[in-house]
Amino acid sequence: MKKSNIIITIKKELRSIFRDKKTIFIIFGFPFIIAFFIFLFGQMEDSMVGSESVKYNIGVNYELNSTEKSILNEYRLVPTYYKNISEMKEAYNKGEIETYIDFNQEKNIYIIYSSDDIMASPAGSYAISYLDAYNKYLGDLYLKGEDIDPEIVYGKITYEMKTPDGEEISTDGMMIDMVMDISFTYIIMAIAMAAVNMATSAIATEKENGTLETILTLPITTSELITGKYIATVIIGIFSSIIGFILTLISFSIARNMYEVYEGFSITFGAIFFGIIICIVASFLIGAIAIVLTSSAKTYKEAQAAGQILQIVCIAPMILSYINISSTIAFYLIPILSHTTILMDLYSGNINYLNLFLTIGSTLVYIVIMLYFLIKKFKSEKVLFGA
Amino acid sequence: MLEVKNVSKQFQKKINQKETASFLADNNISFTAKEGEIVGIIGPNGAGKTTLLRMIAGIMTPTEGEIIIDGENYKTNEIAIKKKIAFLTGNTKLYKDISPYELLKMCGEYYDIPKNKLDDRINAIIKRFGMESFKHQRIETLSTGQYQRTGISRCLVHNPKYYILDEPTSGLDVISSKVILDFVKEEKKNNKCILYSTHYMEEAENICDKIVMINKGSVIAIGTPEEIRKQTNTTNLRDGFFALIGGSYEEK
Repeated sequence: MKKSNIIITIKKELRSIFRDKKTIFIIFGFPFIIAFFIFLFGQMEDSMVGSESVKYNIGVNYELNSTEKSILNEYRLVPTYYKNISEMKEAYNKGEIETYIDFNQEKNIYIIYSSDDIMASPAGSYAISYLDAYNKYLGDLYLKGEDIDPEIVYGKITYEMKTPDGEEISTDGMMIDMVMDISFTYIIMAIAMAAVNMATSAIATEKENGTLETILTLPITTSELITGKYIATVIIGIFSSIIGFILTLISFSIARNMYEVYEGFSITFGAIFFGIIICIVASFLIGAIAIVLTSSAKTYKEAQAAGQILQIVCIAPMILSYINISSTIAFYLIPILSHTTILMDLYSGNINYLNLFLTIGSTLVYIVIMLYFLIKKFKSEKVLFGA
Repeated sequence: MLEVKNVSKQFQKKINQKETASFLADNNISFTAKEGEIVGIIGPNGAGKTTLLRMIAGIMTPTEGEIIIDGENYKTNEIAIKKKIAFLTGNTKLYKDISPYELLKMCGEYYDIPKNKLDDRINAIIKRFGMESFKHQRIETLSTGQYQRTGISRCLVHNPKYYILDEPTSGLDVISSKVILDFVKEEKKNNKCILYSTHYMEEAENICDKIVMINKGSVIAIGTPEEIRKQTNTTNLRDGFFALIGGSYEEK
């Protein structure tokens, strides 16, 4: 094969694709959606759960003892004393406090005034927790006064949560797993989107326009032409995934310092190195699949429809994670699923070299198979001309 | 010299979901074409002209027979032959997102023309076809005439010896057709060999030195327009064609 013909073809394909606004958006715009999603999710999660650093101002119209102050502090509530409910209401309306508690001494009732939008401010629900905790403290105090061990009263039943397999259920890190799953699925999907777009332009559009016929009359062999188009598809895939990957890492790194939900996210040199390797090998494989899928199409529309199959397959890892299917060693042998799963492992701090080897090794085998299939396919005049 | 020797091309045609049938697009076609000669490949739609020209251009392989150009065939020296030919079809579209200059440059690079020579050649072609005003404009923005000139100019970049023109005037108006016909006549003067396929028999009669008349994949007549008129005892190629096929025509 003549190297210069392959290089001219790569240059031609890349020039064509970089002059297409749709592709530019897929390569540069799509990763920003991932970044936006990471920050949005962090913000939402912190609003709902609350961050250690976030404090909520509340108003009270009664004297607080040291125990109450301690419980309020535990729930991140900062109390301010007001003489009466009118003053508290005024402060609430001015936005000085997010919730206020009116204690009616005659009826011995605490009334919590708060927004009905818990998503906007969780201060109201924390106020409930504070009163529940204080109530339990008073109950414990009473029982102790009566010489009764509170544990005997409250310890009648105990409970634990486990999976049917007997594993303890922990919600710690569940949310970050979900966000990471979506983000890494998007990175692999970005390769598919860019590769399908490139393969469609390089093969189906050329066939539809008749330019493929013309180019084959030039002094270039079919193998050189297809190799050039394939490498251009891979370059676009790598470009798209690396941009998405780097932007995702930057986003997680920034978000980790802003939102507690991302505390479990870990970045090491190894994780970055292997993450890039995964993006590259995935691009080689997905690029070949994209060309094979779109090559039989005679028109741009047919090719896009064929390419959508690949894009849907890329969402599969995310769906499997939603339906709570735990990864097994077989996952690392299934292309696309293996790439998303190994990226998840790398950034959860669970680098398993056997799984990494299985992922990269199996992908290389699939690439060789796909390339053999690709070259065989393009020897056919039916594929080139639909004859 | 371009020689087409006993060339046949068979395709598998799908009849329905399960069955396919063999279909002979070209059957045992032979003829020769020399430098300085315009050879018209004429026949109705579906006669097998495009398949024949695709085989001559090296983008399809004959099922039987061989194509020899200057003593070489595609099996032994594909690239050397491709460097001698230029292929232009009436329905070929150009890359929309590049300029005429970029198109010529890309083609020249494929033909391995040294950079300094290529620039000179491109400039000469641009001058010849009056393309200065739009050479850096994207092809998708060109007018029909400018587009057509760009298409022809692409064929000239490597100074080919053989032109394979497949219905180049198909669907064009009188003025646009004239541009093509003038180009063909000029290249003949430059001692180039031109294979000119058309279903416009009057056009072929006017410009071709030799006619290869095809119907249903087979050659039904070869000769100068004058020889075919004499052979069929008619006054023009159209009548000659109908005389040769027995007065009726059925498309495959």
